[in-house]
Amino acid sequence: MMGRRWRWVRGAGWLSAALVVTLSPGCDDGLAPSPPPTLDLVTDVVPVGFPAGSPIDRAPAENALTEARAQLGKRLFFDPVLSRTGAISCSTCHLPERAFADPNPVSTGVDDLLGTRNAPALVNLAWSDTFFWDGRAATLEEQAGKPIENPVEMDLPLADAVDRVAADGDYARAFADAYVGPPSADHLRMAIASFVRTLVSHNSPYDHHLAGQDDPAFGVAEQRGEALFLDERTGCFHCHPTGLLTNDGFFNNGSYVDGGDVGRRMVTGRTGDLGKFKVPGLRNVAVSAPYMHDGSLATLEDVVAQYVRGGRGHPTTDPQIRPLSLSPDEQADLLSFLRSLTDASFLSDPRWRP
Amino acid sequence: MREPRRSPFRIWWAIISVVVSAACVPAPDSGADAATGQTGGTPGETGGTTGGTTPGSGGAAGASALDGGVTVDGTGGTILEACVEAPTPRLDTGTVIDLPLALVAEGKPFVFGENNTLSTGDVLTPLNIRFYISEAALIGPDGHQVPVDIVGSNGLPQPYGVHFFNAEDAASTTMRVLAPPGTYAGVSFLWGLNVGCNQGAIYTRKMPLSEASQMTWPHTGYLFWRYESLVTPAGGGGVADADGGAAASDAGLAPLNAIRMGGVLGQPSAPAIRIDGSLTVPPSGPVAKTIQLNMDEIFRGAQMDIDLTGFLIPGGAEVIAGERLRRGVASLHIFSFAP
Repeated sequence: MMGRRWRWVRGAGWLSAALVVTLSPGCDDGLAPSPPPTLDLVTDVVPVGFPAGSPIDRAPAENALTEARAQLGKRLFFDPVLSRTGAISCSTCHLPERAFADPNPVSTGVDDLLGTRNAPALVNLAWSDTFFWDGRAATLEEQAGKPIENPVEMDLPLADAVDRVAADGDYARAFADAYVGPPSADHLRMAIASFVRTLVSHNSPYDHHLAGQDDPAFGVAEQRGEALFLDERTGCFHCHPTGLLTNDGFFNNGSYVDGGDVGRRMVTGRTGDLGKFKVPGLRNVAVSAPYMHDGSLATLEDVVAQYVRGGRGHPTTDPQIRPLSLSPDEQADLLSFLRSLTDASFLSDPRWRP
Repeated sequence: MREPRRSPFRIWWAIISVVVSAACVPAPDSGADAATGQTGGTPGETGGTTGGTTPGSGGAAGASALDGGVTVDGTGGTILEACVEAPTPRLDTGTVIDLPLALVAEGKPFVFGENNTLSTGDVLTPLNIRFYISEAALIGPDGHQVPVDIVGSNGLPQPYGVHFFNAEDAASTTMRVLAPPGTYAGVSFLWGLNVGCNQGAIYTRKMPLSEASQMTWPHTGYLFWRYESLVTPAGGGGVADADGGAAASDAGLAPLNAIRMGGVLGQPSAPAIRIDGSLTVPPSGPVAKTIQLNMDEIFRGAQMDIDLTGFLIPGGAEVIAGERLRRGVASLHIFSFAP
C-alpha cells in the first residue's frame, strides 16, 4: 500500500513539474498577461461605386492617416475626459450600433443641456468635403474640436482637454507615437479626425449588389425600390446619387414649415440658403433614426411620407421637392431599398468599440 | 474573380445610349451669329472645337488615368476619346488670361442666392447654378482655332481639362486659360463636356467630375448646365412650365425654377460656343476679359418652340427645358464679352 501511494505522489509530482515547466515562461516574468491584439482600423479600401481614393489617399497631407493616429483618435472618441463634467464623450451622442448616430432627436450634453440638431451618422466621411448640417467645417480636423468646446455638448476648452490628456502617461506616449510630440489641441483634433476617417461602411446588401454579388437580402422588392430611387418620378438620386448616396450638397427639402434653424444661411449669409442643410449619406439609414437636421421624423416611413407630400411648405423649399405619385406598394419597395443599405458588419464591428 | 454585374440603372443607361445613338436627331445647324459670335447646333461644325476633333483634347500621351471610351464619328470611323484626370500641358510657358464669368439678367448682375427682381415683377432667387466649360480655344484673326488649356491659378491644366462653375464657390466664377502671346478675335469652347468625359466610369472620378459636383445624372452621364431657383411670380401667379412647348415671348424672361441641360451619352453633344471680340495677349499678364452669361437668353432658350424629335431622355419639365436650350443655342446670345 505504501508503494502504490508513493507511486501516486511521485506521479503527481512529475505532473506538477511538467505543468510548471510548460506554464512558467508566461508566469515567471512578473508582468500582467498580454492584452488582446489591437484590431487595425486603417484601410485602403475603395468601395465599389465610391469616388476615387481610399481613406488613406483622402487624408490631408498634414494629417496622413496612420494606425497610431487612428487608434489614438479612437481612444479619445470614447473617452469622457474630453467633457467638462467627465460624463460625455463623442460616443455618447454617436453610438456605434446606431451607425454612430444618436437615437434621440437632439443630443443631450453636459448638465443635461439639449442641443438643437440631430447628431448625424458618422459613416464614410472620408469621402466628404463639408461637415456639420450647415457645412461650417471644411475638414474633419476642423469639425472634431467644435463639439468638445460647444457649451451644450462637452463644454471643455481644447486647452483644458489637452491638459487632461497630457497628465495621462499613456496618452502622452500615444501622442508621441502618433505625432512625434506632446499632446496639443491640433493633434487632439487630428487624431479624432483620423479615427472618424476609418469608419467605412460598404458591406450592405446594396453594396453587394453594386459589386455584382448575389445577396438574397437584395431581392425583387429591393430592386424595384432601387429603380424607383433612380427614377425621375421620385428624384431621390438628385441629392443621393448611387455611390456615396449623397452629393454632399446643401438643399432645403421642406422638412419644416417656417422659422426655426436657418441652416446653411448661418454660414453664407445668402438669402437663398435659408433652411438648407447638408445631404446625409444613406448607408445604414434604417438604424440611424430619427431623421432630418432636427430629428423631427421618427421613422423611415415618416420620411417617405413627407417626400410623397412634397415637404411641409417651407417658403424656400427647393423646387426639386414636389408631391410624388407613389402607390403604397411603391412606397413599400422604396422602404425595402432603404433598408437594404444596412451594413450589419459595420454596426457590430469590434473595431468600432472601445 | 467574376466581373461586377451591372446594376439596373447602368443597364438602363447602356440601353438608352444605344437607342439614342441610333435615333437621335442632331440639333439644327444655324451657323454663326455674326453679331455675337454665337454658334451652336451640332458640334463639329464650328471649326473643330468639339471633343471629337480638337487635337489634344486631354488625350496627350503620358497623361495619367485614361478612362474614356470609343465613339463613332460622322464618317463611321472611331475616335478614341479620353477623359484625362491630369492633362499634359499644351504650353511650357504662356500668359494666364482671367475670364470672369458674370451672370446677368436684363442688363443687371444676376446675383446668386439673393432676390433678383425682374422688370415683370417676378423675383428669382437662384439656389443652384453650375455648368462645365471645356475644349477652350482662342480664335486667330484669320479664324483659325488655337486650342488652349483651361488652367488653375497656378497655370497648370485643370483636372480633366474642365472648368467647373459653381455659383456657391466664388473662386470658380473665374475661368483661366494659358495662352500664347498674340492678338485674337475671340474665344470658343464647349458648354459642357467632351464626349470622352461624358461616358466611362464617371462614378469613380474626382472633382469636378465626381458625384459631389451634383452634375452626375444616371440618364445622360453628366448635366452640362444645372439651374434651380425659387420663383416668386409677380402677382402671385404660377411658375411657368417649360414643358408646354409654346414659344417664349421675345419681350422678356419667363420665371422658370429649374433647367437641367445634359448631353447625349457617348455622343458629342455639348453646344459649341464662339464669342467674337478682340483679345490681345501680351507676353506676360495680368490679362482679364469678362464673359457674360445672359440669363434672359437662357430662359428664352429653355422655352423655345423647337423640334425635340429623337429626344428620349426621361425627365421632367426641367430636363425638357434643358434640351430646348441645348438645341436652340445657335439662335441665342447666351455668352458675350462684357462691354
